Amino acid sequence: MRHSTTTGVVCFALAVGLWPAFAAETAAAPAPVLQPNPQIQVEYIQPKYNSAAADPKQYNEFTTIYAWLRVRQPLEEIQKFLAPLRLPRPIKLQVDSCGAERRAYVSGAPVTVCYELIDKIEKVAAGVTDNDAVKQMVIVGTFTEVVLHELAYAIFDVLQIPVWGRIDDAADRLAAFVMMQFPENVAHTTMVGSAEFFVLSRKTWTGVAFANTRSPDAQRFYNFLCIAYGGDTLDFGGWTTAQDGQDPVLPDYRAKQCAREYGQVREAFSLRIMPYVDADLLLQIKAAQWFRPGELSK
Amino acid sequence: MNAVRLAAALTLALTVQTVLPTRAMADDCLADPGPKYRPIPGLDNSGFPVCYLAPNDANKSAYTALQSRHILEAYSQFLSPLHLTHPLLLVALNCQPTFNSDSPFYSSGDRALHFCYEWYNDVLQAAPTATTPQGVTRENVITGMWAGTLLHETGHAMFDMLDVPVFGREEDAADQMAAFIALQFNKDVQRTIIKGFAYFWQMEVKNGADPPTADDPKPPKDATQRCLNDPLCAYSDEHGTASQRLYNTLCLGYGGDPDTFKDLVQMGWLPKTRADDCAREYQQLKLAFSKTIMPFVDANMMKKVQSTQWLLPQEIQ
Repeated sequence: MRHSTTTGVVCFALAVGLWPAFAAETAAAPAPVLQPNPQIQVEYIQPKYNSAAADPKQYNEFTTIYAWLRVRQPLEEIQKFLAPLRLPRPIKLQVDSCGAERRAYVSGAPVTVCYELIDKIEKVAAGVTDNDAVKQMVIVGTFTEVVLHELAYAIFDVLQIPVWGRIDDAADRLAAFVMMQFPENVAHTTMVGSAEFFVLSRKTWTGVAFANTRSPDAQRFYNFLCIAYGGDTLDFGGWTTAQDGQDPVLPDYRAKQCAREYGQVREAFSLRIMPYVDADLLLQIKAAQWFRPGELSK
Repeated sequence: MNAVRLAAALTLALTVQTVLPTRAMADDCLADPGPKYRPIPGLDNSGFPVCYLAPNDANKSAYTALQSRHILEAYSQFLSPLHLTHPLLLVALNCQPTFNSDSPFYSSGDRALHFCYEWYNDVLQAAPTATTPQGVTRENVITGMWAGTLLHETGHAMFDMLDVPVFGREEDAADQMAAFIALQFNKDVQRTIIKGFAYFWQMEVKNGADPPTADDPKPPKDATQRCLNDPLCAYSDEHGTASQRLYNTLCLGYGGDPDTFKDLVQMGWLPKTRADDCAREYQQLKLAFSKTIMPFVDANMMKKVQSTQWLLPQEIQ
């Protein structure tokens, strides 16, 4: 099986370090001229050093991430991106040290993206040594996916949305659907980057591991591929064709279901979330530039 | 049919969208309802017409058993509180070779739930001959699998006809539907369906139905089989793995009725780490059912269905 999802896109390669590379782009970056959603609050919590438990090296890495986040301000962009969403009560979105890669969402509590997961994204991306464009897509795409995924939990909760299926898969599908609404270059970066992360970071699952409420990365990988292909068969069609004697990345029998899967999420979004969306503002969001030039794959 | 083949049949795409010839084939038998059936008063089942198509030689015993026990007529009445936007045809038939599957499926193209005679035989063959250490009887597995599978496929029909918003994966959602409906009945019915369905998936796990953990040194020539043997590609199935379906089912049972299913945790069948989340999972499902399905359910008829004895005592022992 071919495990790389990239399709040879034109890229703006960044040959040096990862998070600092983002910061270097900041000065020239055009920010969307949109007001942030007043119901979404954001905070970057400074990593705390616990001498009894913390690994000094990890603490330094978290501190570097914290510094980058404060400069790059990705959560502030999410605040603007979600401006059309009318929420009946506030949602707080924060980055914090969790002691694990994920902190489960609790109704009424902040939505948390963990430094541990951001650190993992960086390390997984660093393992991509032969293609800087892929490395960049893994960072930008996966970070975007993680934030939207965690926010999906809160949106389901705050809007009391009925969720059929496992909620973590539902959060993935909602995040993927939202990412597919970006312009093509942004959708491509986020979808390919996220999918690549899943395949690169996957582990072997056996026995009671399958009791986890979250799905294996390998399963998430195909769910993302399917939403991407179902939403845009032209841009992602390369995944369904055999290349270099290898089987297609997305098997034929699943590919045939993808238009339906994408349509199912679109219909669910239309029925249950669109009533809370300001349609005029949504058009402005779709027209805005959301990533910095160096962060896009093509 | 061995268990692995049965599992493979179950993981086929069970929602078929193209127009199938089933409706046309069923016209004749709809005109001839077959042996006299005495329906339960007050449960009008005109929304769920029933049909048994002629079996081939291999399926004659299944046909006779299903028709003589009025299995589809009973299921039709069981569904009577549900007001779908179109009639849902319940049809028993030979699924091989026409559909290349042994497993029941719903097809939106002709709004029909296909109950395969082959499936009837497969379940009889797969059920244990003796009671298991978890206290699951042969009758539990047979009844649990039939009921669980019919409810799963009916879930697909509801999602389709009622335009139910499905944010998660539909196959998991259909399993949730089956478990949730089972949990609305008395404890005997709950245990039969939840444990019977779960046992089946546990058996599939033991028979190697979960994705492989290592590359196949000799990949098969057939692309589908090659994918099933690959440790990454095997996850491309739209269904959960056998283990996931096992734990999902147990979790909903425990989340919905901790007293009835506490033994699942005590005996370690359901890991405590998952059990701690099950009440939340059940509540999520309850909200979804309440908001998206209940508007189409006649509450009075539902009470009558809940108070009816659907499974015979020997089936729920």
